[in-house]
Amino acid sequence: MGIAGLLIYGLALAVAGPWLLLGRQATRRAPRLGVVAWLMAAFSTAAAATAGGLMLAFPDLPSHDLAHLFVDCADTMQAAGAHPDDAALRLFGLALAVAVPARSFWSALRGHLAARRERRSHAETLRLVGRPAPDLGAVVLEADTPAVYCLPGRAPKVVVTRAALGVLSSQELSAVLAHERAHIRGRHHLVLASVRALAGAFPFVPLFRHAAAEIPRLLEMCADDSAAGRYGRRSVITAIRTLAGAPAPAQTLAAAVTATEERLLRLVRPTARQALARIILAAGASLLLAGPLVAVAAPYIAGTLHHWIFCPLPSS
Amino acid sequence: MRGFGDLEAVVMDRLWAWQHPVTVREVLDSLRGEREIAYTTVMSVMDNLHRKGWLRRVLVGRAYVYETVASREEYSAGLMREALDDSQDAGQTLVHFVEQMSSEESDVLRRALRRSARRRR
Repeated sequence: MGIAGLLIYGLALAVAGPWLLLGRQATRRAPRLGVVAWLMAAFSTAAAATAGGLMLAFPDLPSHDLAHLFVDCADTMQAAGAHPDDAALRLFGLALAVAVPARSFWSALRGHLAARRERRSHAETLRLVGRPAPDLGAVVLEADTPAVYCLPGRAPKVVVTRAALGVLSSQELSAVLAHERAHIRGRHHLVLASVRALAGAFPFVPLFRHAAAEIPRLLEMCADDSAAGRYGRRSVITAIRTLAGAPAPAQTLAAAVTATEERLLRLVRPTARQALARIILAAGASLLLAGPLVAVAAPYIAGTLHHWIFCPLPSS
Repeated sequence: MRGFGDLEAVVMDRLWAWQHPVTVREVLDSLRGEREIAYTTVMSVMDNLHRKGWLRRVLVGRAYVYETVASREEYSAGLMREALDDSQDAGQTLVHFVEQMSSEESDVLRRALRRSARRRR
């Protein structure tokens, strides 16, 4: 029963998880915790699948035998600790327990190597093509499209184009550079890489797919908060609008909100009740982390309690 | 002004600034004004740059004449394209600061910005 609970938990989280977390106000108010919650959900699902598979493959693990210590009421034990003896089921369990970590690891490794190769090649070109601007702590690229980006990794760089220097005020520039540095400091590229690895390894899992789409948006908000903390929300807002190419006002009533607009709306409206959001998310993330353990342990705890109450230990 | 550490970058700076083919000797003479440097050092740096594909060279008499393969702007444009297009891929560069917004701002955003501007006045 513990196995079934675990696998059901994993499956439920994989499918229904996005509904819990997607676009929730709480994640917008506390984006860092939002990222943690998504990561915990993804990790929890993968862990549940692996652990469930292991338990299917090796039904005689101590946790099952623990229940046998209290065997007296056979029917209760039947419910709480049924062993799958079917060889096919065990094989399936083994396959699951091996495939989930193996495929995740393989996807992560391939992604990491490819990313590192591209970063290195980009950095090598940037070294010669860009002009270091030590007073800015950035590299200037002689390009006529205004843009700012960062190159993470071992020797991280923030890159600003000459055109961006032309259109941004000094306050806006400071805010944008602070935003990029927040990405570097927070090692956001590693977070992105791990969630993309999972989504790449198991693209059919809705939770992973949505996490891979949501987490980048939340990370941008984290970096926005960091920049706004130092240089004020106004600077970040105007910097975003300047660099996005401030558009003409709409003639129609466009209801859809793009990721960029979401960032702007969030900065424009002062957010209240952040503390509550943090508590909810922290609690949620902890629950998700403990989820697989709870799913496994619950039937045994219930069975044990049941025994103590209804079927006392035989005196030996 | 670039530091002394990156000789390859310094040499490329010169070549892009001059915008005409040069010999090792000419580059050496230019650099000698700023630092102690040997002919062989400059020669091996330019040879490396050639090997890596940054420079083309032609043998004129007994010396090579080097020139850049592409302009700094062309390389810069290439880097920009890589950085801006790659948001979906391996995540080698983080999503650049902001995606180009669609041509129309949503009504929601416009109202919010107007309200915020009024509050500040």
